[in-house]
Amino acid sequence: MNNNILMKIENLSKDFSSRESIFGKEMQLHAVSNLSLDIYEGEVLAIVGESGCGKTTLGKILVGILEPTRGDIYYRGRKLKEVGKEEFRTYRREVQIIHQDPYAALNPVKTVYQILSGVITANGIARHRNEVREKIDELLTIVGLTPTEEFINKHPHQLSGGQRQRIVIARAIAPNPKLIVADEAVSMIDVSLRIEILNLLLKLKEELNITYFFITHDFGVARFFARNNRIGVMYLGEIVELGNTEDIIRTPLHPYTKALLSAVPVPDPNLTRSRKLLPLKSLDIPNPANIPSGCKFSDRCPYSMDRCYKEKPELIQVDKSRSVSCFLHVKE
Amino acid sequence: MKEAILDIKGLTVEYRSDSKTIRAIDNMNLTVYKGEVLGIVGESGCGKSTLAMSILNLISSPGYIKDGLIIFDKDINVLRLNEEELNRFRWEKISMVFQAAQNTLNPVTKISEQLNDVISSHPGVNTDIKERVVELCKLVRLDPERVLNVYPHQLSGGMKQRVAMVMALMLEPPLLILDEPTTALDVLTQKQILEILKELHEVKNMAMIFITHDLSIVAEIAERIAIMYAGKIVELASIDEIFYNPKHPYTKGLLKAAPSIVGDIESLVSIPGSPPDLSSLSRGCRFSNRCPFTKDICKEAEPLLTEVLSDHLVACHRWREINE
Repeated sequence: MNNNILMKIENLSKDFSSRESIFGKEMQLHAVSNLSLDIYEGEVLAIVGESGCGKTTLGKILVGILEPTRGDIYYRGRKLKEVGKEEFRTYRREVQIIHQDPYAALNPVKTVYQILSGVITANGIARHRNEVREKIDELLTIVGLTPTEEFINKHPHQLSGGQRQRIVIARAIAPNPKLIVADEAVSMIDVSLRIEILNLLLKLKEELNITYFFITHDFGVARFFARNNRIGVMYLGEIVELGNTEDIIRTPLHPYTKALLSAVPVPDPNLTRSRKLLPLKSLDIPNPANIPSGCKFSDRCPYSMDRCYKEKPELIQVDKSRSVSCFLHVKE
Repeated sequence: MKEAILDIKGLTVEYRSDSKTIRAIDNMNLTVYKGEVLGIVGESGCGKSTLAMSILNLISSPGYIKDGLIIFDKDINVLRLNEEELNRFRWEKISMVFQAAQNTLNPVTKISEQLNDVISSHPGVNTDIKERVVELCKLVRLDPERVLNVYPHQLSGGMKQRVAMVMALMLEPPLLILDEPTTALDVLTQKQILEILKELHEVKNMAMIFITHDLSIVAEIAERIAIMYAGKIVELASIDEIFYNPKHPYTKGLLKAAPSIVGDIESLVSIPGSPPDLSSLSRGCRFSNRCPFTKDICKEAEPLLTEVLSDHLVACHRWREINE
């Protein structure tokens, strides 16, 4: 990881409107709210959060599938709202996404050849039949599906879950991306195969110089994949804590991070017996129509003070490599 | 002396499609004891959900129970019950909580009516429904005022899962089967459900079969664990034996494959390969194509589940050599 910012996210918000019923009044759901974050070239940034925290929405905005309601994204220092068509196309090619479900992500009536050749020709990577075939062989070899002749004419249903995810990965790296947004990339893969897929992604990072924005709900997976890198914890559309992976896991500062980590089951019965859940005031995420003003976690937090209900804490740097948005950690 | 609540003997379950027959469970023997929490752990396709469905005699076409006996509490032969007897048996003797509880609740009926249905489908059950529902809601930390008069879509995933638990507990069955009850839930909600289950187990002393793909989750709740692979139990032992003294190479592999927030991450490694095709099994051990210890014998004969230590059963020809 170096200090070049590959992507800069500035005060980003995404609102969705919904209605309780057709006669009800329209209500705004803030999926991402005023979020700022830098993604450095060559890093693995893991974003951990529960369902509904906005992590998938954020990922979709980063790759350009969704448009933000407010705020800006800079890719390689250029504001995406202001770039021309050609430059925008380059950004779309260089920033790819891997979705959670390898079953839904592949067109069931196409063969592996058709799936990959489509991406290759659409991005102008190769044109002639021979070149395309060569590129497909190369991609399949990189993702470990060899001998390639065994896979090239298969349909997705003829492949196992792990093999399908490898095809999804091959498709994502075909356009030579610089940044890959991986959204729960191993959640649907059997436990015995997860490490293999994660190691493949890490190998690609080294060989192809890829930066990862790795979205997950699983702290264990984040710890493995983003080791020696960074974790950001998301809650209700905001980053509440950001820091080095091992620091976050060992000494979480934000009460929400603490609560999540205290609830993660561990494969060690003796340790399990001694672990206690941080006593939250409520275990349920608040109704989106009824988010507390002030700190969004204040209604569940066991440490909330008067100030937390009235004021909104900012994500501020509390030491060299850690930022947290909590008044407990503000030095006056 | 431990007393059996459920005895499964020689259970074989198959699914048939146009061209092939898949044996999802093969000649399985398993005893569940009164008041215990038995964890069943395995990956997708290992047959763990089929096992749960078989216990309630819920297997339907294209699946069928080919062979075996399921005996409940010494004298009920579950696979011989007729439709009427089965309807009484389910909920009253054994009830089940499924992974996607939201799908088990009727979307157009209020929660209170669905709970009533459980009671009214069991004539002769003498229960003050109101009192019982309030007591159970309290136990699973639900506010009865909030949940009873609403429709399922008005509740969160965690609340629906707890409603499903109330429903399963209405008739206080001596055995509760939970099939991935927390998999669809967030980690905080999952922790809460696990706490509730532990409390239930203590208060009601009911036996539970807890099915999951995640060893960490059974570490929270189970007393004994069965590890399943490709339709067979490959290891069965107390929770401490499984975690701290595993004998089967698959169990060892699973423990080394799961990323966690504790322990060494450098030593994590996947199990190479994938499970065998259950429609065309070859001779020998089903794990042999992925096992680092495979020898000729493993390719030739299927290992039997054998008691190798007190209350510790393993199905591996080479368990002794590889654990020296």
